[in-house]
Amino acid sequence: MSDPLFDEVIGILAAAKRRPPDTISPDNSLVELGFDSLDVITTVFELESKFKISISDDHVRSLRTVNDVVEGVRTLIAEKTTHA
Amino acid sequence: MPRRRVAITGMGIICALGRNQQEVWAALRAGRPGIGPIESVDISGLRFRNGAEVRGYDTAAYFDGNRAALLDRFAQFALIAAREALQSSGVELTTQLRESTAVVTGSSMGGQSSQDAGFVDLYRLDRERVHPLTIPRTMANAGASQISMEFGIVGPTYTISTACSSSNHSLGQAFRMIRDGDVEMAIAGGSEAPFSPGLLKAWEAMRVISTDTCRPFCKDRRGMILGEGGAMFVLEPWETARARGARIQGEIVGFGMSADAYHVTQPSVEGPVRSMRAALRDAGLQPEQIGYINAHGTGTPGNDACEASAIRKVFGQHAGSLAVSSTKSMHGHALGGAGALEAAATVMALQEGILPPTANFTTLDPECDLDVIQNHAREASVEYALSNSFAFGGLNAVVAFRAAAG
Repeated sequence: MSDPLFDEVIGILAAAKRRPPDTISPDNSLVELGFDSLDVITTVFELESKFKISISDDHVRSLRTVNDVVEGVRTLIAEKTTHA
Repeated sequence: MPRRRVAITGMGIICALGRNQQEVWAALRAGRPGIGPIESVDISGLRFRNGAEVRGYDTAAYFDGNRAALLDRFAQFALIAAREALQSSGVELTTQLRESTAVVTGSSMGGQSSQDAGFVDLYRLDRERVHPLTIPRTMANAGASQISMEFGIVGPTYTISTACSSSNHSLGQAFRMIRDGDVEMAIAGGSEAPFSPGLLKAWEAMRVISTDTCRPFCKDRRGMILGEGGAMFVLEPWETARARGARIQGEIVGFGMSADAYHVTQPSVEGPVRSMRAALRDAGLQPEQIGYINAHGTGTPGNDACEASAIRKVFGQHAGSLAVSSTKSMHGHALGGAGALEAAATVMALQEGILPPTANFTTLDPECDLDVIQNHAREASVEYALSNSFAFGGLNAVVAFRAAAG
């Protein structure tokens, strides 16, 4: 099933680490993909700009896997739409 | 020339805890933080709300209009601290002494607040010009230059900018110039004034600022709290200070530096270990002789655990029996001025026999398993102490102090 949001987030993560998107799966941890703390904050910065959302510091600290990132973004977009 | 002992004969300080040495000490020994909602800058749209500002600061109380126009807030703090330091030293600045006195200051951001304000004109208000004093206000050496000009000091004068280690590097360099006989006096320390909208936004993006307060070494610590202020010290050769009957407030006995060569923001254990060991070696001290460490202790999850591991590694068994506190929990993290504020806290602690606490303390993080002084100052007669500074960019600087009576 096509999931455009998933593809977009994976695209941003892939670009951050300069690797093909198809080498990233939802279960991958950010650490095993080579994300250090600076990679995480710069990638979150990209995601915030792209989706016009704001991700709290505590939320950023709780991100462990690719799925955490995708679902976190999905939830924040949904909240934004609900509040709009 | 044999190595000379280096006495601290003057001290001046301004920060969130007070406008002079007495006020700051009263807050430190009471464990009373100067952290609260940021007032000097519009913080709407910012993810964090609290800082450690010099509240109600009035430039006109210290500088006339012409002078103030030339001085960014960070340089004002440098001058205010230097004035108090010189006054408390009781030293008489002769022509000869002015030629053999050094000024070494530390600052990470310099006058970037002035630059930030100037660029609002340019980029937001669409003005075509920037104020002509932007450059002299912004330059990181403005503090050192203004101190040299105000007091007519014409010896070696410069500024060190190594992020959060700036002040410790400055104190260490001044200490060595006196110890080695290069100069007969030094004014050294550092200052910072990072409260401007652009800089706060940049720190917000780093995601290292706590949304409530600063709780170093606690399980629930959530980051640092930015602070502002400055501290300056008058350093003299021990024998000169004694000969003129100066009130010696403390002694600098060693200085150690290192680089992590690891990561630009993530802390390491090995770099701090090397710098603490270098300071001990420089001072000719055994680890067991240290009774107190004023930790870098930023309150970020990364720093505090790494620093605790580094202290464990350097001090072994003794790590459990030396007292540790982070006074950043009270005066905030003044970045390039931090080492100077913490040197002041350390020197006063040794002098008074009272070790300031880590304020806002909740529960000790097992990963920071040290004897952290929690919330209340501790009476303890300590002869030797270290003050740690570890900077972004992996640059570490540690100063070793001895109580004046020693």
